[in-house]
Order: sequence, then C-alpha cells, then structure tokens
Amino acid sequence: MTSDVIRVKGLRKVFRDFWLRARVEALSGVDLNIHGGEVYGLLGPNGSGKSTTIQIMLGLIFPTGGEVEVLGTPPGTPETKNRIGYLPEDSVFYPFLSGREMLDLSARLGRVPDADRQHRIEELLQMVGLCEAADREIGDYSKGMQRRIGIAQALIHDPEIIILDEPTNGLDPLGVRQVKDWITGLRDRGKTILISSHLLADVEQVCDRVSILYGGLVQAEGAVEEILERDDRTLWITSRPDADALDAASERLKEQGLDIISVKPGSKSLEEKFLETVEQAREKGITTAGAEAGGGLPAFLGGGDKIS
Amino acid sequence: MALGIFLSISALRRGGALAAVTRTLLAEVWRRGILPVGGGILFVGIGMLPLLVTESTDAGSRIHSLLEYGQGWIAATLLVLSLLMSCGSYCDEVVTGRIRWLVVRPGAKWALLPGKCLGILVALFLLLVPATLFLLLLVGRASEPPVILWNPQAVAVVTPETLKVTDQEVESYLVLQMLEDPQGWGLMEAAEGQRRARSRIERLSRSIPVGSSHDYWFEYPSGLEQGAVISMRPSLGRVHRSQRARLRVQLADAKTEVVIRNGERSSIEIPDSLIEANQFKVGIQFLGAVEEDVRISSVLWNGSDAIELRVPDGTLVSALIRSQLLTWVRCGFIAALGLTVSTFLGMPVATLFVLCFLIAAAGGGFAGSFDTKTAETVADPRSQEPLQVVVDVLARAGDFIIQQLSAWNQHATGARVAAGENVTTAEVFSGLGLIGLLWGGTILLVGIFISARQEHGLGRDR
Repeated sequence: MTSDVIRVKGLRKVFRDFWLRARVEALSGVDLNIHGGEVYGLLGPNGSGKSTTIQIMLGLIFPTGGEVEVLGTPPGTPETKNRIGYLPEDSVFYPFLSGREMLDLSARLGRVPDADRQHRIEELLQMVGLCEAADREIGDYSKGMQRRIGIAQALIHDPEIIILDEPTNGLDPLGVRQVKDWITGLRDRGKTILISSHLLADVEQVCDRVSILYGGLVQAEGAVEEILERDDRTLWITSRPDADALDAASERLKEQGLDIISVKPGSKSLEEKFLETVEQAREKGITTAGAEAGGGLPAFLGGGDKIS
Repeated sequence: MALGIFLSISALRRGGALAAVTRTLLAEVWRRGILPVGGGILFVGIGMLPLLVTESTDAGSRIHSLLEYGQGWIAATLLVLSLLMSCGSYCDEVVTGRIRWLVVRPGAKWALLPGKCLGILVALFLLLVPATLFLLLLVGRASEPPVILWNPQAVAVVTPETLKVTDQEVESYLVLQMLEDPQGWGLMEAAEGQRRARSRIERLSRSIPVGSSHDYWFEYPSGLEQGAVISMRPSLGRVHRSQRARLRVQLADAKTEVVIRNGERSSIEIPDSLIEANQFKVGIQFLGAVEEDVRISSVLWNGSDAIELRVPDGTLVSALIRSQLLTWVRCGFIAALGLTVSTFLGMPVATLFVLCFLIAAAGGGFAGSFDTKTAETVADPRSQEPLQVVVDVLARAGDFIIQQLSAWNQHATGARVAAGENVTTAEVFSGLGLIGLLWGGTILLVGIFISARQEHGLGRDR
C-alpha cells in the first residue's frame, strides 16, 4: 500500500444563506485518509455529507474549517485537477453533442495531447460499448448510455485519482458488472478510486476500504472485511448434499454445541441469471439499440502513455 | 480574407480548450435552433424592408431608408441574439449543474468564458455577412442604375475648428472679463466662471449678427478633392422660421451669395483653387433677411452638423462594411457582458441587466443630462464632510461611466452610413480597441475572476 493521496482532517462545512446566517452544518469534522492504489467507498444516507466532502476535494466548494490535501496540494489547483477524473452524480453532459464530440471536448479541456486524443477517444468508446452510438447526440442516449459516456470522459486524461459519484446509477446489471470490473482493473493498474454510492452490495464487492458518514461525521471506517466481520456467525458453502448427509452434518454440528440458524438450497442470483440470458441472446446474434458489450480497459490508462 | 477564414476554421478544428468551448457553443446555438430561428427572423425582417420604401420615388431617399432601417434591424437583432446566447448559455451550465463538471477540468478556467464569447462572435459573424450582402442586394435593386452602390462616394465630414472651444480660449476670455468686470467675474467661483466663459464663447462662435462676418477654419490633412462642399444648416430663430435670409460666403478669392432658409441645408462647392488644400478659411457674412421689412438679428449654428465640410471619401459599400464591423464589435462586448453577469445572476435578471446597459448606452450615456465640466469642480477634500467626499467620488465615477458610455454611441455608425458619410478604418480600430479589447477584455477578466471565486457545488441547492 502506498502513501495517502487524499488527506482530510477536521473538515467542516457550514452552508450559509444570503445574509451569511448559518443554515446547515453539512460536515462537522470529517477525518479521512485515502491511500494510493485503493478503492475507497464513501457511504452514508442522503444528507450525510458524502457529496459535500467530494466537492470540497474537487475544489467546487470551499471548506469552512479543517484541512484537505489532494496529492499533496490544496484542492482546486490546475495541477490537482489534471490528475483527477470525476464522474458527477447526474449525467449533466451536453445533450446536443454526440458521444464522440463530448469525449473530444473532455480531452481538450483535460489537456490531452493532440497525438493521443483520437486514439484515446476510440479506445474508450470501445471500452464503454458505444462505438455504434458514438455519433448520436447524448440527448438521445438512454440513462445507462449517458452513464457510460460519463465514465469514459472521467478516464480520458488518464487521471491518478478517479472520483465516481454513484457510478452504477442507471446502469443495467450487465453495465454494473462491467463497471465493477473496470474499477478493479483500474485499481490493479495503480489508480486510486473514490466511490460514493447508495448501492451497498456494489461497494462491498469492489472497495478495499469504506467509511460511513452520518450527521457530518465519520461513524465507521476500515477495510471492508474488517468492518463486516461478525464474530458470532460462520457461513459454509458446500456442494449440495442429499437428505441423509445433511441430517448427519446437522447432528454433528449440534453435538459440537453450534446453533444452525439457516440451511437453504443454493440458487443463482438474479444478476447471474440476467447476465446468462443476455449472453445467450447475443450468441443468437440479436442486436440492440443501446450500448454494446464493451471491452476491457484501454492500454493508455496507467500505461506508458502518460499525459504531459 | 479567404486565408483568414481558412486559418480561423483550421484553428477551431485543431485548437485546444478554447477552440473546444467555441465549437461546443456553436453546436449549441445551431442544434438548439437559436441560430436558425434568429437568422430566419433577421432575414425575414430585411426582406420586408422594401415595403417601407414603396411610396418613395426618389432613389436617394429609398437607399437612405433601406440603409438606415436595414442596419438598425441587423444591429438590433444581433445585439439581442448576442444577449440571449450569452446569458442563456452560461445560465444553462449553472441550472443543469454542468458547471460542476466543467470547472473541475483543468483547461476550463481560462477557456470557458472567452471560448463562449468567441463562439458567439463566430455565430454572429455567420449571420452578419449574409445579412449585409442581402441588404446590399436590396439597396442595389432600389437604385438606378443598379451599379450605383459602387459609384456614389461616401463623404468624410469635418467640422470647423472655430466651433471647438479650447481651454486656452476659455482662460483668455476669463482673464479679459476679470479685468473688465472685477466685481462680477472676479468674485465668481473658478468653476462657475469657466463654465460661463465656455458657454459664452460657444454661443459667440455659433452666431453671426446681421452685418458682421465670421471666419471658420477647416482642416483636412489628406487634401481636398473635387466634389467637396461646404454644407450649412442655419437657424434663424423661432420667430423667423419661415423667412429667407442672405449669406455672403468667401472661399479663397471667390465670393458667393446664398439665400438660406431656417433649418434647410445649403451647399457651396469648393472652388478649384482650394483643391488639394489641407487647411483653409471660410468667411461668412450675414447680410440679413431677403425681405426688407423683416429684421433678423443673427444667424445661428445649432448642432454639431450645422456647418461642415463634406469631402468625397471612400464608397458606400466600404463604409457599410466598416460600420457592420463596428456592430459586430459591439455585439462582442454585449456577449462578454452577458456572460460575466450570468456568473452571478440568473437568466432573467442577467438579461434585464444587459438590456438596461443597452438602453443607457443607446441614450449616449444620457449625454447632455450632465455638464461634464462642472463635475470636475471638486473642492479641497480636507475641508469637506466625509459623506460629501464619498458623494463627490461617486459623482466622478458616474461621470466617468457616462463619458465611457458615450463612446458606445459614437461607434454606432449606421445612421451616418445611411446619410452618406464615410466610416474610417481608424474608427473601426478605435471601436475594436476601446469597446472590443478594453471593455470586453476587462469585463471577461472580471467574469473569470468571479467564476473562479464562486462555489459551484451544493450551495444553491441548500
């Protein structure tokens, strides 16, 4: 594990009205340390301060108190911005631009060199499965397709830190699976990823560490395995036994003084069934107007093709 | 020109963040229909102009009306479009929350407002060029023969030096009056004395009593050309408005008698001996009323165009093109102002703000409402109440703004082109420098500063 890339200490944010009267204290002293090369989950109910924390890290709003350091510098400086990729919570991209134009705009605003711009756009379009729809206006995209183009624009300048606000919002299970694969792939290439999400199952599967915010304070923080560990339960997963074997095993466990709380036959998850069905349809050659299957991460992300 | 257009297009295609924002704005105004609908309104309006001049039989007045209304319509439409595009585009970024995505991009800070402004300028240029060509086509059809547009020359207008009162003249007059009337002028406050002296000299230089003569000096550095005329529009006073009077005009060795009417313009051709002269004198003697039983005490020159030298200079087409370029520059400033105001105001209030500016500027900064010379008379601040000092500083600031605003009106040259006057290249550069670069650049920098110091996060939602 490398050193901290984001340090937050005693962060406070008070929103004021027109007359500068304090209206809401969104953050009351948040402490966070996000290590380089990890996937970090920021969890909490609505209004707990997740988005406020992220927006302070991005330099979009200014803290009332406390300290924030992103890559060793204050947030919002051009040097810091160039090393951060950001996917906003809502797909707010220009509806009158095509997907390709949107990525081109994002690349130019992200100071991607001319020589790299075109191939990065094509590779990212391929990654998010929007090659066929690249020249359609974003306003005509489905919500999931808009999310995919949002992920692509966040990666086009090969950032070191990627901040994803509700990354799977609006995506179908296939897209959710792909996003999770991309996130783990990016982590493997040394990127630091900060995720804010309500979908706890997704966060649980991809995050190395999480923190749970409530009332503007970090209520719990740690590695996912650590904070989810229960010292009073054990889950066994076995091949399906016949009735006699199950009874024998149960008896044996009871003899050891263990309580059997639940025994259920194994079943597929709905996600697995969904992915299986779509895969079968694709094998039959059925086409779709939406996003295609997509692909793996492009070579330029975390490779030698760094931006200047 | 073609090379310039080619370079601009290739810069937009290959450029960085600035060009990207410019192209995005062009895509926005085109795909959202602002440009097609605005262009449609613009061209339908120009196309209907000939209906205004059907009654007129005189080709000159038809051309004048077409040029005046046509340029007015083009300027008004483009200014409103510029206002809507600028306020609409930036406010849309804020309302949709897209601004949060934009400001975290490293290249956006210096590219967002200038890029949008540049995009609006390109969009307006794309409307301005065909609209001007369309207007020229209509003017050409209204004239006989059709090539008249290239033929009649525009004129440069020169006012006599004598009508411009200098500070030195005011001072000399004051010294003389103080010697003659130490009780009256000597006890008067300095500022009041200067104001009165200036007013009197102006009145004196603008009137000729019956039987007297007055010399008017004209300077035209390029040298007079064939066809130059002295144009006069005298005033005989309200009680003599229907009377005729006689003037004797001396130009070099030639003396001419002219019969004048109240408020009607008369022209006297410059004699051949003055061709290529760059400084000359016109002696005008007021001989009194034509009718013997009428007594008119003096002839007056009211207004800046009452007596002027008109020298052929350039063609109508070139004057029109330069005038349209100044319109484009003014639109650029409105775009910059709209964008900057939108950084801290919502769409309706921002639009209203810019409209207020347009109304104030169109009034020439309320020229005439304030005497700029009296505003300079500020007493020693040490002897004043603090509040009075603040009021005086505010008055000076207001005076400065009003003077600046009058520059806006000076660069609205449509009516001058319609009246056959030339618009010089120097005026275009002056407009570009003052309104385009100084005003526009300053206001854009203010906008960038405000935008960088603003919170673009959840503040509004809360």
